[in-house]
Amino acid sequence: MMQNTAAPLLEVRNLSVLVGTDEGEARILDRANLALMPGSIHGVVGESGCGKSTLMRAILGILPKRGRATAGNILLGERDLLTLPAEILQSKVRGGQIGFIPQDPYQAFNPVFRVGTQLLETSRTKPGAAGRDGDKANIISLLKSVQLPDPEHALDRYPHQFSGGQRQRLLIAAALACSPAIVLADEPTTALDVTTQLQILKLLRRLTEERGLSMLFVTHDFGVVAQLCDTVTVMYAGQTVESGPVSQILSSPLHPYTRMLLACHPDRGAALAGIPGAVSSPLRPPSGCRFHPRCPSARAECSVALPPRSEHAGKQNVQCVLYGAEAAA
Amino acid sequence: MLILKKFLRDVPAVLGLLIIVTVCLVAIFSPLIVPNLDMVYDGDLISRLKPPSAEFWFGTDSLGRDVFARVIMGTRGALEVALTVVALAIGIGVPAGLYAGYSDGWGSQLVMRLTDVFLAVPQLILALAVAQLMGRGLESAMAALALTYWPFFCRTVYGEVRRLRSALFIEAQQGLGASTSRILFVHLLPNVASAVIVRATIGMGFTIMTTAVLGFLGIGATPPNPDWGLAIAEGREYLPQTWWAVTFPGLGILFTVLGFNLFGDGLRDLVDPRLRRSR
Amino acid sequence: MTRFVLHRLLLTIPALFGLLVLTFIMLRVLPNDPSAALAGENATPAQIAAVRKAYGFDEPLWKQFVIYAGQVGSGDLGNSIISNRPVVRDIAERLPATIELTFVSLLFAACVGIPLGTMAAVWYNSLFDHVVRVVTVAGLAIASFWFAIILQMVFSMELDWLPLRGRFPVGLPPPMHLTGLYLIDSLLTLRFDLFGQAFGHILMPAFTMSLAGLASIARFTRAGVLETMQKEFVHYAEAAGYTRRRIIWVYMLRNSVVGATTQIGLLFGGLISSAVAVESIFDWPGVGSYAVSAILTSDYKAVLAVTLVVGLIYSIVNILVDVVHAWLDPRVAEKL
Repeated sequence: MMQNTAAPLLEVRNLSVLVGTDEGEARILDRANLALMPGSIHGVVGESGCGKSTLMRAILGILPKRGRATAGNILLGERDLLTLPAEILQSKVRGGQIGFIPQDPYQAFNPVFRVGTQLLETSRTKPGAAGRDGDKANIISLLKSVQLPDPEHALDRYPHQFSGGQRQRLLIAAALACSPAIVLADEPTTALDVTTQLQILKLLRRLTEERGLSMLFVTHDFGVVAQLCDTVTVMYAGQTVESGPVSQILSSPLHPYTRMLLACHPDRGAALAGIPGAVSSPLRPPSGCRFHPRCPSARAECSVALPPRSEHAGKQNVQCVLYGAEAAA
Repeated sequence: MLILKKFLRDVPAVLGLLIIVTVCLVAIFSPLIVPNLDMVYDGDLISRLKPPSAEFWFGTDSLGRDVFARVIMGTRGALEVALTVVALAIGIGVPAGLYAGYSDGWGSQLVMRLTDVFLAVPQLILALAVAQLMGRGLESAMAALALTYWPFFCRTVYGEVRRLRSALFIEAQQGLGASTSRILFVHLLPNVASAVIVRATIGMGFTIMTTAVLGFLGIGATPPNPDWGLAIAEGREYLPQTWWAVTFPGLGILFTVLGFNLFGDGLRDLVDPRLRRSR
Repeated sequence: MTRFVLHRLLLTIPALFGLLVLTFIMLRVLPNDPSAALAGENATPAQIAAVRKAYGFDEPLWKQFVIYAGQVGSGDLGNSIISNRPVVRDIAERLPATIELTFVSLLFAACVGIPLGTMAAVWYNSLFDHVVRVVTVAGLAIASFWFAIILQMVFSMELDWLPLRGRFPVGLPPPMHLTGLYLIDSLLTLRFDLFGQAFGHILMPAFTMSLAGLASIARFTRAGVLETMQKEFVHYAEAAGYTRRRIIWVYMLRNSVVGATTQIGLLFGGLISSAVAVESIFDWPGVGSYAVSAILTSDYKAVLAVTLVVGLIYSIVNILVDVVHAWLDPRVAEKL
């Protein structure tokens, strides 16, 4: 097994998250694993409801009121984020060490406040605040790097005076305001049209390289992963089924779900394919590997317990009985 | 029924309904349950200004009348007046609102401008002016209140009709061949009804309160009517020693209006959370 | 923005005009034949006819209305039967007292109501929330005139802590007239003793009047905050690392309050209504008690004048509220 020379910047280990609902407890995440290496863009891909947003929220420490982590760790460097007090999470982690780019640029801004007020908000209380003017200059230079037209006057305008793409750029600038090392992007291009989408992806790529950022990019679109990400984790129904370098996963996907997911993508599949069956409800998830009811290669052991992770070709991790005891191919 | 279950979970609303039911029962059966029926309108001067006791639960007032009996009888009066006023206001406001909402011509505009006029002045002030016009007394107070309250029903209905109109027009045009009045009564009315019922419930509480104010000011009910507001005005002279003559009628108002408000709120949340924004 | 203000003004004018017509109708309907009353008890038909002609009562109704409108426009609303002075003067003298009372009540209601409603929403479904909900509904069910009397009974008659009635102690000269508002004037002239007197007198009436307003404000603040809490920008603010305090008191509050400003107009109407009874009870020399005494003495010109003046003020307040709403939420002005 080839060792990675660097340690992961952010690591999620066997994280399980429960959310209470009126109908019972929903087991949204089940022993999820993820590793973000420094300087890389790591995609998190999966269908709607696979738990990727909950994973983001767990990392940021903003699970819904009735949600809690029941097992596992989230390691940022040495510290386990799950054990940190809320105070620290708010003042140091969110906005400080980890920046956040939201999904919907049309809803993320508070419509009755000027854009400048909101962009400058995170710098107000973070350590290293350079004073009001310093912060303002910093934001304006950020606006320039995200290629927002007329940055000096942009701060005085209201959100509804900007287009969707422009608002997304503003949000990217806001995420970078306090020079975080890590950025979480929650499907930031879903609400935009295809051309704008491309521009934003290019922008994110450039910014990560220029500033040495590490980015977690959540999406449901493998195509975007192919364009943007270095490594990727595939999620299904709250479990992280496969992860590894994008090129490797694209050329030789191991997990049956990954294979079927890739086959579904219009660019890849010959015919319009789908995956038979439907995603299970997190209230009553299947035991063991949650994909087994829909998996063409399912065996008896699949419903008993979740198979352990195994490594392949050095960097690809997969949780599947097909690869359990076998040695690396 | 799902709605019933949802309603039953809203504790304050259920409490409100219980209060309303209690009040209604008291009002209906008041002549039977009142202890000293003869002491409601004519007092026994020997027993004037007696504090609460086993004989007179709420004491007696300055004319020797049993305060408890008066409060009970006052319930009947309050409900009668409120029902009449709200019924009148609905009778004027709902048709006006239906018309204004459904038609597009200058008639519709006229009705809405008319509601603007009536709403330009706070209700009590307008009620005072109208009561002045029609002479003092309970009938003119009721007419005044109805006249000041119909615009609210009109507005509510207007808003609902406008909201529903675009949906229903298409439906009607798609070959049902229904006449205007049929559309109005069969389709619109049920939808509008829920909004009207919510407003009517809240209106009951409001009317009871305003009637009491008018009674207190000497403009509404006249002696020897056991109207709560009037009773408070009469009892005021002998304070602070005879606190019971003032306190208990006021509690009557509080209890009844509270019931209607709680229930009305619950209805509103049930029917349409959007309505929460209006009064 | 100016377009919005003009548009708003334009909408109000027909309503005020309608009010003018309404009061005119009431004026003419009331004393069925004013000429007979004016001519005196034993006047002959000829004398009555002469009076009618002199006063222009024989003119067509619309012409009489024009005359009336002209009179109102120039500020002539007739004379009070009681004071024999122009009604407008009576009202103008009494207006500052009512304004002061209303303003203090509103201030208190807002300062207590808004935080109360906000915290109830933030601690949704907690014990605090339930208590607030019940208390606010009860607050709207308490008859203000009754509460006023209870307060008088307890704090004035029994405990003798506060003065029973009036705006200022009898015999004591009030602060120098700068604004007509005793509280402000006494502070401006540095007469803190007079401030204390005025404050003691305004305490009970203002508290009484603020009750319904407080309940109302707490309710719609709570509803507004609850709604705002669901919005995406609140979730984003949290994820981006804003402090909880700023999220609640700066970002959520403005949105919640913005939606609620439309309620302030109604609230103001409620305040005016309760001022009528409360002023009477506390002998507060304002427009409310004036209206009551006018009604009881059948001083109909005074009553109608109060209706017109209150209608005008109420409409202006509503316009101001809409303008403030547009200022707070820029999308409103542009929507037009």
